[in-house]
Amino acid sequence: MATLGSLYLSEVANFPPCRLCWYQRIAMYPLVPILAVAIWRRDAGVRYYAIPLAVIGAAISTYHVVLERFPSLESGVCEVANPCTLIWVRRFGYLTIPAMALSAFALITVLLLAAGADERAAAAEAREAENESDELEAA
Amino acid sequence: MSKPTTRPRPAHVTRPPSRRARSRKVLPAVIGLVGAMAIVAVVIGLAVGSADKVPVTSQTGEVRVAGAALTPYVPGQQDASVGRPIPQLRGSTFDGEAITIAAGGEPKIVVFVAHWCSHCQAEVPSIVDWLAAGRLPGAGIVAVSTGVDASRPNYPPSAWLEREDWTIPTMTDDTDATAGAAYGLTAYPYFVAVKADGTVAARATGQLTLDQLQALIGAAQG
Repeated sequence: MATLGSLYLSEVANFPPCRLCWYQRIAMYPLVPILAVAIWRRDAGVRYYAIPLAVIGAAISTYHVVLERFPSLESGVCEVANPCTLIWVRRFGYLTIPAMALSAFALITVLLLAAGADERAAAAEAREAENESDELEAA
Repeated sequence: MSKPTTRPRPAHVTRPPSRRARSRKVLPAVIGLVGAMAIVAVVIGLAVGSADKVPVTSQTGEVRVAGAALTPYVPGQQDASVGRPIPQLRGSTFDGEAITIAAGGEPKIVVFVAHWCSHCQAEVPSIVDWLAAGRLPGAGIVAVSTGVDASRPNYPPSAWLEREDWTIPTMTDDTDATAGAAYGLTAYPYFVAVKADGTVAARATGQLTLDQLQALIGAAQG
């Protein structure tokens, strides 16, 4: 959804992505096929590949959000073409494009972590049941 | 009887569910996905679609340039345009009145601002305050509204400058930023200090402090 939203903003709404936007895209776009294949194969191990991408993307988004608030952090000038300090969209006082990306990266990270915890709990439960069954058979 | 040996299944691999079980799990996910996409579409639509549309023609104007253009300004390098005469600009204000920026008269600072540039948005109220406090004596200030783009934030520039109580005479650049190019603009905001004889005294880009702007005025007076 974040990928579709980002493509909509650049290709339909004609908001050209800045340098930091491209870095966030590099982290976000591969998540689509990686997570899609993982869902198809029911491979919970995908978190080892997807979480690093999501965390890197979230770090870049965070820097971009901070840069929007404090433009002088990077330089005191606006590039003529497309500076990263340019705020194309702001809703509810905080919801800019990098803030949307940060929300998406954070959501993906949290869901993958939760899925990992769930998977570990299920595996522990299965091991326990297997042990119990072994003990019963031995008795 | 010996117990049949089975290879232990890895922790992250689960038994494939039946087709019916899989469809029961997939359906809510598809519904959730479609619902979430609808929410995202509504949010983006609200964010993008509600921008006020103002005709661009009232915010830009024809600019006529006479004289040689200044070299593109590169901060930190020796400025080849210092000592050269400024090109004459003839254009109009937001109200359609004729305005000319040319050599002659008192020393002056020509400042180029773009409505969407966050540093210009920060610099404009500072200049307004410094002028009101009488802290920028010794040179006239004239502005050029350039880089105008109706699709970018804080449009239209006339409304922005009016909100900021900007009383400095301001020329509207054309859609090709002809005035900015003639003065060697490479970033916003952009300042050109002009001596009374019409030659360039110094140039600067970026958000300036009061001291830096006073130094530019000093150079224009020198």
